[in-house]
Amino acid sequence: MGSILLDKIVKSFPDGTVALNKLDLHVWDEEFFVILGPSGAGKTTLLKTVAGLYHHNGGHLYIDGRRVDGVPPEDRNTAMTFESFALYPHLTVYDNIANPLRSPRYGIPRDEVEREVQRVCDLLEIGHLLQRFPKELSGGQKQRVSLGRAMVRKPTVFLLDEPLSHVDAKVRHRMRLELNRLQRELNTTTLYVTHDYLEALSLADRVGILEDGQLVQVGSPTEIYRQPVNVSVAEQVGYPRINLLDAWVEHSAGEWQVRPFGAGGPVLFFPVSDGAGTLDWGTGEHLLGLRPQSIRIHPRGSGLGVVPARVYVATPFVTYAIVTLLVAEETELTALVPPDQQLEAGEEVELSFSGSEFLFFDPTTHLNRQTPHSA
Amino acid sequence: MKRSKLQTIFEQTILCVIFLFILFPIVWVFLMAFKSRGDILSWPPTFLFEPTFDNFRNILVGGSSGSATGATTVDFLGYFANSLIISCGAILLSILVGVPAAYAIARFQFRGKEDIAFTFLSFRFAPELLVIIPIYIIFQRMGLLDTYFGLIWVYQLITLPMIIWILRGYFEDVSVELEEACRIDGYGEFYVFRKIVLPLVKGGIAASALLAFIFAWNNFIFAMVLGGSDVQPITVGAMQFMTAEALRYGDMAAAIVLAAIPALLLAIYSQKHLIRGLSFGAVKG
Repeated sequence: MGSILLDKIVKSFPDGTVALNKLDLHVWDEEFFVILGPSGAGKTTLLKTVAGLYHHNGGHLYIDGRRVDGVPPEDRNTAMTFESFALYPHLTVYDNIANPLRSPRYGIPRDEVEREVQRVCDLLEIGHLLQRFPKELSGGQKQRVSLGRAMVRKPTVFLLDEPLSHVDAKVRHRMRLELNRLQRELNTTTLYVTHDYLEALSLADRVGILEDGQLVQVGSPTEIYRQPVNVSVAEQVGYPRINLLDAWVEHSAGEWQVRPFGAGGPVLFFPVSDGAGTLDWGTGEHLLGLRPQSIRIHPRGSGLGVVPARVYVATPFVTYAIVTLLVAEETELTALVPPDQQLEAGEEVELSFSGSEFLFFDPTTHLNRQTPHSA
Repeated sequence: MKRSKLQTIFEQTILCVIFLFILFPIVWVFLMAFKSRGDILSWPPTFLFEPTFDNFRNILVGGSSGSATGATTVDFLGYFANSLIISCGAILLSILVGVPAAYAIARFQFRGKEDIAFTFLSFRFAPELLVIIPIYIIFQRMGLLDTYFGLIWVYQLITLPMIIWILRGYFEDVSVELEEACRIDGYGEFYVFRKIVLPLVKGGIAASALLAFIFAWNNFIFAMVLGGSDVQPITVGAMQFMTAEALRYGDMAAAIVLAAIPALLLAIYSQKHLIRGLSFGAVKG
């Protein structure tokens, strides 16, 4: 239990770099909040500031309603995992995990320490590793030991720094499920940092997008994916990367006319209402964001598509295929299609789009035209 | 690149020559310690002789030094003890002061940090003769001449820079995140230092202490000028085998052999730490 409140937090380093620039963030009690951002955005700095390892130069920080500016890390009752794991190399796995419990601050009796270590080891399935030293563990095992060390105590908040970045794909998927389950069981407020949008979208109650030391968007995973505030958020979330087209939009005769490939290109007609609600795109020049998932590919001449295109490269993966298409011999489009759709390079096709999945950005400010922007 | 056999032989020969050149004085002194006075002074020098323990008996239990003339008794064991007291004392003090100093230089950013570090290093390359006279005068005024404390103090010029500079590297090799993790585990700064950092630089402390000990043990000039007869270490004491009547070569050689033993034992004992210490930084993670 415990909320985290960052009130205009500023963190700059002696060399002059400003890592966090008047950052506001409120993580609710028992929430799983994921910070998503490219490397160098200030994610780790944010965690270390909350943990008290870095002293912020401005603003106020509250954990569980208590102002903790200047409170040393050992008195903040947080638990943190590090991207480097930071396991004590001279201690066994058991001693590593037991370390937080043995702190003179808590005065936990020996048998209880043993019980608690056993509990997290059962949870993380590392009971057989207890007598080993960190250098004898694989990456995934180290990861779990470092999680174990964080979870053995009941902290006010968990701070997890890329806890899944160093494990292989199979383990990562399992750990993700485990983390999900753990969070539900333990109900501890969690601040989780990652650069992997899938991790963010699958784990988070809410996601915050961090860029250049500021949160550019905070919202539920669906909001982040469906209504990214700007182009860079749209590019970060989703795979393959979103297609960006210089589009031209007009409004006439109760219809939207969208020309995704510029004023002279093919035109798509959409009714003003798509059934779910009124569409309001605004006329003129737009930067059109088109998710690869929202492009349908049909055989040429089938009459199902509206824009002619040619398959440039088709890369099949077992469960899906990524297709690069050429429209009008110059514009490249990436599409994600089911694996059973057999496409050959050079094949002539036609495309259809779903209008409700269009994202329109301002071509100069790169801001989403449909989401309200807070200043 | 594959080496030809000829090249290998050539290299080995060169190595043997260098080896002989470096080891010869040591071997010669070692042999001398077991020779009688006659054998020592014979020309051409003999490699085959009847070994004798007379020299050792002379310096350890006292007695004539093989020749009729050398009747002076030299309190070898006393000097030996002085050496131990001064060297060990100097090392202990250096570790006590140097470990926190090295940690501070490795971890914290403060004004004049590199200047301070360099000043420590400069103690090593300033010639001892340059400072000995001012130190003599200071010690005279403070009453530190001919005291263990005075010598231990002045030996810091030798031992402290080595310990600080070697340990600085070791401390820098310890990841800051280990300390951060331990802080978050609920431990104060000092506790983290003791519980996490110190165990990880154990090898470094052993290695630097050993090197510093050897330098302290071998020091001559400070002890010679600043130490009176009560506290003189073995390096100075061995001079007494040069009497007006005779140069007691055999006794000197025996004294040297015995004096080399502590450093040798230490080196063998801490070999494990030395090797571990040297490879510590290389196999991180």
